Formats: sequence, C-alpha cells, structure tokens
Amino acid sequence: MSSPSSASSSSSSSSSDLIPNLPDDVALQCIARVPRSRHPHLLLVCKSWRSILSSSDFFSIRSILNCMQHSLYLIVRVNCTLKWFVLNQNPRILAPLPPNPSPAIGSAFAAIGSKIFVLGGSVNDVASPTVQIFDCRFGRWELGPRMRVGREFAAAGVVDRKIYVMGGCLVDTWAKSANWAEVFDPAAGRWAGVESPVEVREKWMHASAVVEEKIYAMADRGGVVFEPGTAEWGGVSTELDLGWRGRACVVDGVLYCYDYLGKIRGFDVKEGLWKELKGLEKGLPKFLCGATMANVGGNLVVLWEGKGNGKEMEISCAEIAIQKCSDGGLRGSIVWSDVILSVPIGSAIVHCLAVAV
Amino acid sequence: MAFTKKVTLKSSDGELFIIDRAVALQSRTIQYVLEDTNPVDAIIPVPAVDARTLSKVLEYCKKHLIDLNTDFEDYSKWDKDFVDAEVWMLYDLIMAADYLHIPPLIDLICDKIASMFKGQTPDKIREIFNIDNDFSKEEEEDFKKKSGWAFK
Repeated sequence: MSSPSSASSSSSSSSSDLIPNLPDDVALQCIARVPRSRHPHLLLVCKSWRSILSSSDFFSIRSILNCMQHSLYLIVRVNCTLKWFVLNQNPRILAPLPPNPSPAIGSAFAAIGSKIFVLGGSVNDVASPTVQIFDCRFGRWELGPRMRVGREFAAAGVVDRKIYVMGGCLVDTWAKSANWAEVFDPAAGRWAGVESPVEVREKWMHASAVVEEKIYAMADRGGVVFEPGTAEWGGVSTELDLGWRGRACVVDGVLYCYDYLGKIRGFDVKEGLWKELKGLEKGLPKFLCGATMANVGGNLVVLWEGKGNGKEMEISCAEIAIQKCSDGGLRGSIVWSDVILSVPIGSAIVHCLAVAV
Repeated sequence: MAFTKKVTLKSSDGELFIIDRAVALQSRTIQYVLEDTNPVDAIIPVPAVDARTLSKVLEYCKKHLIDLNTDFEDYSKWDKDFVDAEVWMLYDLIMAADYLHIPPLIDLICDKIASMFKGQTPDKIREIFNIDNDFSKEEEEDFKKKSGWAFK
C-alpha cells in the first residue's frame, strides 16, 4: 500500500511514527477522535500508539477537538470489597477498572477534570484522611495530599475546580472543629481549612450536591448550604430537607433524587418546589432499589439493583433526557435502558459519577 | 483594487486549474496568498498537491460553496460518499487539506479515518494502516492481563 502522490512525500520533514505515510500531528488528530470505548484496542496496536495514548497531550487534543466523551464511573460493593467499572458510550461497553488500593467504608467522591477523588472513609472503624485519586485517562491510581482530618460519610462538592469537603468527623478537638470543612485546590496541591459556624457542624452527611455554585450537604436532620464564592453558610429549606432522599444528581440547575415512593423528583432551587419527573411510568420498573444517579453529559442516568437468577442480582441503568415544559413541569424520556452488570446477591451500588475523557 | 473572478492553481505535476475565486478562498493558504500579493491573472503554485488530489479537493470546495443552502441531510450524504475512498487517497486528501488549510475537510477526513477503527481488533487496525507490531508476545499478553479493560 503506497501512495503515488506527491502530497505525502513532501512532508518528509515531520516523523510518521504513528501511521506510516502520515505525519504524526495529522495521525494524532485521527486517533484522538476514536471513541473512548475503543481505546483498549488502540493501546495494543504498537508501542508508539501505546505511548501516545498514555500521554496527557493525547487527552488535551481530544479536548481541543471537542471529542471528550462522558463516561459513567460506577462503584459497587461486592462481598466486602469495592469494585470499579466504567460504562463508556458509542459503543456502550461496561469495563472493569482497577479498584482503589486502600478501600474504605463511607468515602466521599468528587471529580475534577478527568480525575476522581476518593476522600477518606473508615478503615478498621477509624476515619481516614487519605485521598486516593483515580486518573480516568490512564486507568491509574495515585495518592493525593491527605485531608487535615480523618472523615467518614462526609459531604463533598466541586465548585470552581476546587473540592470542598465537610463533616464526617468528630469535632471534639479545636483542630477537628476548625477543619470541619476544608478545601482542596489541585493547582496549589494542598488542603486548607474553611471557617464554618458552630451550629452547622453535624457529624454524618448522607447526601450532597452542587447546584448553581452552592454546595448542599444533607445531615441526619436538616442540612447546610455553603456558597464558596461568598463564603456564606446557611440552612436548607424544610421543603428540600423533607423531599431529599438518597443519592442525588443535578441536571440543568435542578436537583433530582428518588423518593422511595417510586418517583424521580426534581427540586427547583429557584422556586423551592419538588416536581415529579413525568413520562417515565412505562419505561421504568415500579420500584428502583438502591437508585443512584449521575448527570452524564446533560442526561440523567439512574442505576438500580434488581433481582437476577437467584444467586446473582442485576444492576440496571437508564439514561433519561429531560425537558423543561412551558408550564414549568419536568418531562423525561428514556434514551436507553438495560441490565449492565450481574453481581453476587448482597452486593450494592455505592456511588456513580460522570467524568469526561 | 482589481479583483479577478477567476484564480489559476498549478498542481505539483504542472496541471492548471482555473476556478472561481470564491472556491479558492475556502483554502486559507490560498486566501493568504491572494490577500498578500493579489496576483492578477497570476498562477498560484500548489507544490505539495498533485493534480488528482487537487481536483478532488476542489470538487469538495465547489460543493461546499454552491450548496450552502442545502439541508444538513444532503450535505452529510455527499460528504460520506466523498470520503468513501481507499486509505492512500484519504492520506493524500488529508495532507492536501492540511497544506491548503481547509479545516472542515480536515475534520471530515479525520472523522472518516477514526471511523475505520470501529469494531476492529488491534490486528485488523495494523493491517488497515500498515503498522508493524513491535510488541513481543509476552508484552501483549501482559498488557491484556494488567490493563483489566474489557475486550469485547
């Protein structure tokens, strides 16, 4: 296979290590467009491809070319261990990932760019300050700077590319109290305490979400709102407190959660109202056990646990496109829905989050 | 300023292409030449592109100029047929599009080449793009095991 034209021969000045007869910068533009789910195959083509796919430049080019794809990262507890998976799109393939090196119970999760931060959690009943980082680009774990205090069941949220984490620690000492909330700036690479009023320092957090640059963290009773931009703390409305159940996600400024009556509801922060996400009656089972949600590229993705064949249970997934109706209502339509994973009975969905890679 | 309506391009192998100025302006490289020198009736050499490739590139430029009002469906169908070509032809086209700086054509061909990876095993990808496998058998097996990624 040789090119008879003068076009390729004229470019002898640049090297063609990636694809014979194509300059590397052009070849790179082609390879960078290949969907994420095909990358495992590209890694095995040859050494130069493996090396380019293991470079951050490759992912910068994907970003510049607007080829980043949102993938769903899923963490499942199976027999006391945590298993990690990624659900890539186009074609939709679920692939296992290496698990975090030191698994803990009740870690908080946050994503910045293409990295997932696993914050604290308890190891042998002791709350840990360890931060484990998964680089979704290279499928690699690394340790991050430790938090100032150990935490389990903390709330975490990302605003302006900084991670805010709060709660999940006893405030029995001055240091723990002063660091009840702290912030991590990846650019600076370290944690710093965030001042918080005494009355908001609840210990356990069971849910958190970021809506319009404000972090909402729900404690056992009541919850707190923190706005990093103004460093202001507040309480959440009773309406939100009473309606928020389980793991939530935010799509287009609306906070969604599953209400245990079998409905997905969205809370419009501006109106202070819960609204049912309509249009899903036929597409979803009556009850979604362990419902967990994430915003994947603007669509709401919900995962749930279902019965399998006796020894195994199934984890199912539905992607829902959401439309805000002119009357203010919320209407969803199911883009696709399928069983994505079979796991031993007794397993549970721990968390899911979306990352663009 | 005397604008000529027609522009003459000369391919690497000496063939002349007389085309509408508007067609030529889709190439930013040509656009700069015209702006800089404003050659009246002059011949613009395109030393990096041969006649066969240049005629194909100009076919693209003409289509995309004339059919600005065509709806998206027709447009993408035409584009799809346009890049339904042998690999070496795509290489020549992308090199020409790169040299002439026609971003939508670069995008179109890159997307086409990227789509050729679809559903292909590493072996098949090497075959299509004429790439040597420089991994040892052990390395290959090791990567498959270690990466933990699913191969479906």
